[in-house]
Amino acid sequence: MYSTDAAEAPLARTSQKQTLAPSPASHKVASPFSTPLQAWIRDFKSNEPKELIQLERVVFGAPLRRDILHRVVVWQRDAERQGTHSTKGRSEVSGTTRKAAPQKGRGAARVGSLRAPQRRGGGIVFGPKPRDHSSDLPRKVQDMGLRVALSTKFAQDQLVIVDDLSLDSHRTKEFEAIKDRHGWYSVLVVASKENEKLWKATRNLQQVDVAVMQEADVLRLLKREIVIMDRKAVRYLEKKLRV
Amino acid sequence: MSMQRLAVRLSGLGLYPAGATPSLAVAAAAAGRTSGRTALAARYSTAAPSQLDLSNLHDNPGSKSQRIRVGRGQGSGKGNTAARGHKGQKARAGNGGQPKPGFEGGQTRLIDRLPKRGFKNPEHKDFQPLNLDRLQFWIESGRIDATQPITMKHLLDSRCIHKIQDGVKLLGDGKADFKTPINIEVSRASKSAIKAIEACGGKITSVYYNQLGLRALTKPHKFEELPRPARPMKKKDIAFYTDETNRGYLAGKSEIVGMDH
Repeated sequence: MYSTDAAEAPLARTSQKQTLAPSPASHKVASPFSTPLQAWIRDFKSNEPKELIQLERVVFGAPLRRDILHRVVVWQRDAERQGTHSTKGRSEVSGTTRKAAPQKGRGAARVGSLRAPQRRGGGIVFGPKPRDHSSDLPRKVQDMGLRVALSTKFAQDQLVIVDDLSLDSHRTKEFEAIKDRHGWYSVLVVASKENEKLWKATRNLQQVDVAVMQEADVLRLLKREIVIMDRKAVRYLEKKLRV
Repeated sequence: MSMQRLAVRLSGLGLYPAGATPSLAVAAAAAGRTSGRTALAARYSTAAPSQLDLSNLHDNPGSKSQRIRVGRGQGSGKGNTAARGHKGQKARAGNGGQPKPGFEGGQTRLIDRLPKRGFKNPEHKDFQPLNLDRLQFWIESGRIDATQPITMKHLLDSRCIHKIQDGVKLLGDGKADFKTPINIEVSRASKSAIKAIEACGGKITSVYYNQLGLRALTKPHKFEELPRPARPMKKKDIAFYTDETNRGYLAGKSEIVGMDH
């Protein structure tokens, strides 16, 4: 039987690729054209730079394809639509089914149903009915969208990589203090694992979202201006999105 | 609109003397806001957004074509006959111009004239047969590593079997010449195959896979997260895979699959 260990499972897709092609970090002979992409690891509370880390150029230095982001965002928002809109057609509107007037001998136009669309209180022609609005997008485009979104945040200096997202307390006051100190307004925090304190501290802040790294997607990333990630989340996304 | 907002907005348009613009920090303090400088600037800036965000995404020009709306008036060029031409079968509504396959102009169709016959067994499973001589040949020619446990993935990847369907059943052709001790997992095995493998010190296990499990086994790279292996649900399958004579993987574990009641 195949193994479905929790530690192994999320990386199953990439672990096989890895065995085929070693990660760029382990390359002995680097390409002459490849220059390393570097980012500061900062202290979450003080925002002080602590050390430099190498980022994958494919993931954080991809071309900023506006069209790809658009496609992914439209696809995501299509899928979010509830699709419960509904109207009643002439057969569904309640009311009599009696013929409104005799067919002949009245000296006026023929009338049948009182619930026909042209009558007051009549049914709606081709009105909205509950349906699924979700659209399809190739998986490779989905992945590319995430790469572009991360690269966009990095290129626009809106990506903050921190070592540790731990807070001293679950009080909103503490998180707000950090936020204001750095001049952050609209923030997405991508944590490598569930963080109870962080979640409690931010749940009443309208401009702050918290996501676990597996939940990071294009719409979430673009919705907020600043994206704060811890090192593990960066490595996870690099592993997941490496081409 | 407060004076600060007005000043900031006008200065964004270049209509307000630069020196007279109240500093953004002051504006923020005055408004009692705790938010940072960038946020305010972004909110009240009238400059064209240079940054990529949700507000300025668009697809490539020409990537989407407009749907043609037929029968919406002469001006559209597709008004009168709505691109269907004049009269005839193709101009009428229904069936898209061609009758459905099998339609014989109203005469009773052949498929309706003949009686129904037979049935489809929902329990039916197609197991790929694999004989011991072929397995032996694959091992000897180095296509399968017999020192490692062999699963149906290895058999498929080495093209010892060409497709997997519902699984693999190991059969006993060539049992006299089978000499390699192996550790193999397949869906089913015949009595003679079990006997031959165990006679030369090998181990064989019958393992239940549903379609998803087979896909996870043979193509794990297609999954972001591997599904948990399904246990047999049908009484027949439970009986088979808990049976030691079949070398079922659940043999002796009947309490797990709820066979005790």
